Amino acid sequence: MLTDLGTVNEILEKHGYQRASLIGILQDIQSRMNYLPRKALLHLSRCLDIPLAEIYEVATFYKAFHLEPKGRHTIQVCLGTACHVRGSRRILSYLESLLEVKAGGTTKDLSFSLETVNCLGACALGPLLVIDRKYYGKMSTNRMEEILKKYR
Amino acid sequence: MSPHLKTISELRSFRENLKRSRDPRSPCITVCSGTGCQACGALEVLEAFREKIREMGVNQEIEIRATGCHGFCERGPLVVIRPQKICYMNVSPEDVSEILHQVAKGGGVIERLLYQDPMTKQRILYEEEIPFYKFQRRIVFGSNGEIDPTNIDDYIGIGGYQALEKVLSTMTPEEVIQTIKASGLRGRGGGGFPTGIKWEACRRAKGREKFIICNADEGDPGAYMDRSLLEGNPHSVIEGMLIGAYAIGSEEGYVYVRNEYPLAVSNLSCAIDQARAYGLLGRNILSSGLNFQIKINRGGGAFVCGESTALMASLEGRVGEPRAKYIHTVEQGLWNQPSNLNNVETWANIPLIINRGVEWYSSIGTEGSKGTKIFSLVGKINHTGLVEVPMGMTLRQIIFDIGGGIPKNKRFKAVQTGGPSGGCLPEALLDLPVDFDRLQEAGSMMGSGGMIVMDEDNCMVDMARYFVQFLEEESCGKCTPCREGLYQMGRILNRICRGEGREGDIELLEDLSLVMLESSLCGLGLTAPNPVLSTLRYFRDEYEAHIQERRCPAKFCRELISFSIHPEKCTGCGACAKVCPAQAITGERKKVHLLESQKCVKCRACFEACKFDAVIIS
Amino acid sequence: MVSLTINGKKVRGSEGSTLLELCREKGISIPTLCYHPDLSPQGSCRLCTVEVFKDGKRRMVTACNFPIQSGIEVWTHSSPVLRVRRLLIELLLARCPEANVLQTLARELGMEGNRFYTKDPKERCILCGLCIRTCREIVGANAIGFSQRGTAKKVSTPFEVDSDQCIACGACEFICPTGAIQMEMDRIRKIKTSDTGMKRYCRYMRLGLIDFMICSNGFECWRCELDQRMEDQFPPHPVFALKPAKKRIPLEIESFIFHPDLFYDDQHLWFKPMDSWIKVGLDGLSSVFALAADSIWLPSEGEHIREGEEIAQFIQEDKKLIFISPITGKVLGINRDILESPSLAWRDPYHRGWLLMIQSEEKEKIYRLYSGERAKEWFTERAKEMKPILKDLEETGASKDREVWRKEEIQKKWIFLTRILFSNKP
Repeated sequence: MLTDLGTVNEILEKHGYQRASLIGILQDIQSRMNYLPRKALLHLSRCLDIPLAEIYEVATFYKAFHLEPKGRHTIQVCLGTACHVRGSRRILSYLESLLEVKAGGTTKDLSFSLETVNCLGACALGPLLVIDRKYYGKMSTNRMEEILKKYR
Repeated sequence: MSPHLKTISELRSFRENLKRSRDPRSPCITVCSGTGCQACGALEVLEAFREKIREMGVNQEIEIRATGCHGFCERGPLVVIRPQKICYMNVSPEDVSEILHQVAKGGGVIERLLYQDPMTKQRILYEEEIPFYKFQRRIVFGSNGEIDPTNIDDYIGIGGYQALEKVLSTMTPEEVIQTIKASGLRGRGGGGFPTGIKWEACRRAKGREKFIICNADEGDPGAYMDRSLLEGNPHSVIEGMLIGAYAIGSEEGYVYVRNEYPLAVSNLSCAIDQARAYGLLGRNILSSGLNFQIKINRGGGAFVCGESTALMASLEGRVGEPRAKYIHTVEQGLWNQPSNLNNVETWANIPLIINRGVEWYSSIGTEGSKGTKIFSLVGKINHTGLVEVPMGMTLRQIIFDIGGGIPKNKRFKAVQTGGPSGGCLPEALLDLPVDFDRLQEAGSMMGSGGMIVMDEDNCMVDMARYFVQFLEEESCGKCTPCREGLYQMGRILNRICRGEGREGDIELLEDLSLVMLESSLCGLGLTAPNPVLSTLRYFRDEYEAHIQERRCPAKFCRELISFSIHPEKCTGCGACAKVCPAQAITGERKKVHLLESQKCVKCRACFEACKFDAVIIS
Repeated sequence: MVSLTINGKKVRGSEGSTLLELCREKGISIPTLCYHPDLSPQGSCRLCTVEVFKDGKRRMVTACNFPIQSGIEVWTHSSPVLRVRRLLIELLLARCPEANVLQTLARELGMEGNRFYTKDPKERCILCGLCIRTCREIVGANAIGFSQRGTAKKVSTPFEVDSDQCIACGACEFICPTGAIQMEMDRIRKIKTSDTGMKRYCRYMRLGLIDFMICSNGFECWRCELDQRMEDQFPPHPVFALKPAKKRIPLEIESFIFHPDLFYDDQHLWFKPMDSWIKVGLDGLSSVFALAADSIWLPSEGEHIREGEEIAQFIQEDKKLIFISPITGKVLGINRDILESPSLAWRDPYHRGWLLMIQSEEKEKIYRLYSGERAKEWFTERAKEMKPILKDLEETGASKDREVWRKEEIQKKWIFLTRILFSNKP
């Protein structure tokens, strides 16, 4: 993925070059470029007149941002309380061993990024798994392999 | 075509026209399209309805309406046939044509899609007679099932923006504040601070500008009522904010919403655009001189941003770190200007109070807590969903009458309220009336309204560890007690759960908790020990069993349990061996299987896979 | 003056001061780790926690940022306070067992042993943030910041590589209470001779403490005479003695806000040269017109503007206030928020209330405008003339009547005000 400053400029324009929109701008960069490239942040720092140190603070503080490229598919395991009491930790550790990657990481072949999320508000469906925004409710370890097959 | 309403009377006559043009007796099929139902396929059902209607080419009078969350998420997708309010559950696209035929015919019901009482096996026809709904009082949440959130006309048609009308035409800002104060409304976000008093302080505060903020950063895991309100009835929140802006004297409003709620974001932005097009947001609203606009900010994934000062820092585009509130945010908040922050549910209560009056509103609820509260009833409960009840209803009524009790005939153990800041309440407190003060006395809190039910299989030490680990990850790390305290607390709880707890660990936890309660910087740290303290208060024996006997009474903690296969129950189906990620189970087909405990990673996959209860935990 | 009780004794302090300031003034010692009198209080180490009683209610507050209130009763060394302090030290010592400052505090509080787990016995950073605030608020370089959050929080440069913004002034090393920051000479040299960003400048020049300097020592400050002289002349550390960044923050002059770090022209427009463009806005005086304006006109994005052409209009019924551009260039962006709400220019003139950004090759024209002390004098003069005419402008209380009154007031005096403000206008 190339760092395309044109994309960053487009996003900046959309947000009207407002410094207060930093988080929204980073979100948009992330969704367009899949992660936050260093070059893009340097460019932002110049355009918005915000010190790079502050942008870096924000980019590492919020969980939604990644400074490394992510996998083609994002798997989110909901660890909200409702899912937890229904055993979502087990789902997570099962996935970790299946994909050989820790939560927050990306598989070596860049096919999956495994993330945890604190409640997606679909508690009736817990334990909940979300792959690329598609919800898989009432998850159990024995359904996992089959679901992942669709994405491999 | 959207009318730009220039005056209050134009709005009034627009509403009258809408009402006249809509026949309440004409059939309407509402399909719940909240996130919960969407996840179970509501959109496919909706699409099927639309397609079938086109196909049939008949009866264009049947309206198909995609509404917000109806609350009974357990049974989604939900479909309600109006005007009779026949409630169908777990509807799939295959059922659609049958439903349409019945409606077109003007009668008849489909038995199998109705709610069935688990005791009497009786089918229940109407929404309001289902126990889940029967005991609720859905004054804030009720319209969710009636209106299409992406259509402002629906909201106006049921009396929307009437409160704004009333406020702008007959009340001074002071009168509005007095009304809110007299209603006894307390903030629904957690702390329960009286809303009217906050407004008054913000109105009095001096500053070049003032801000109205709606906190929709619903971070408590297991709570999603704010999301459902924003998704299902965004205009009620906008109307509440407009009234607040008028009362306080603000031109600029913000909604800070979690990015994990994409549907809420899109429905809200759609609502804001429509309100602007109608002239209900913008400059000189309805010629009253009121200028007000609302912007949406999406959160970046940080629980701490639910804290008011952290939220404001985040709105400014900075790191969501809280600051001391010795000078309150109503005086110096966003950009150091007076700012009034309320959460979604609080804002949605405002139009109601204005419309129906103080007397009516304050007749609901208890002495110190007025009105209703929406709870998300989740966890080990039969009727998962959102429930709105008058303050003062007991936990037992909520969990058993509305929630339908615990699944699989398991025993109720505890209910956790208030999210990571709250606590776990045991069976002995089931008759506790739920309001702000009583929950606090019991060592928990209202929080934003998550209610997570736990049964005998849940370990309370593990629950405490869960919340501490959650907070450890979500703490901003600014102040010592929260950052270092949670880290150490997590370590101690971890070793207790692993069966490596030491004498004195309980006392150390208590020491640590006490200091965190007193010295942390913000609400997150100040309440972080609550899950530990409340479980210690009510379930101390479980801690002791872990430490002294190296035993987990709930058979939950991984290091303290082992798995085996009961040779008499095992049918040799091989289901367990298939799912075992560690290849710890061996055995030939149709013969008794064997589990090698050295290889076992205790993932419970086999336990869940076995249909014959042959996998045993000890 | 505010009167209160501290440890049973009646004391008086001046309004707006903090509890810690008052206690130190009265000789009561309260331990602190993240506090420094020259930096904004952060209230993060919590060591200065004290017990405060007000109207019978008890609460624990941090003295470093708690503004004194009359009638409160303060206990700085009560047993609950000491219990908190001891545990906090114990927690911090578990984090950084080698930090001398913590060991000393522990001895003073009579503590022994530690019940908590130590992850990394070599860790020295207690995350007090003094270095970061120094770099931001005193030096103005913004080379370091926090990264991550929660237990993973740490102090670092962006992307954990040597920062272009670092000027190797050494203020962070100087302020660090635990010796967690150390200057590495060879890396400093690399920073100073780096070809990116601002290059080949001496740290004193980049701090604005000297005007011009060509280094003849290959940026080996320890061989530099000037460096020696600065250190001798401004003990204990030149940066702390001179606080260059403090001179660059907005201040109030006659209740109008003035930003000392910008360039101004006779129309009371401010200019901020950035990368390859210039940001433009109304200053704290001319922005009062925004209060009365019904609407604002700005050129559209992408439009080319020539020197002398209009770049903004404030329109109020039949009246119009026109601003012209002192430079030629292309409009890169306009502030859309201000079009929706013109009063934003007055509410926040230098930050959210900017007008437009112009891409221009003519930065040097901007450098010739009012700046620094000259700008401040010029602004003060005008502010004094404006003040009596616009009394009470600030006191809004934000009632609707007040807003209307304010608007009418400016409308009435519109012409008169323009005469004062724009007497030199071309």
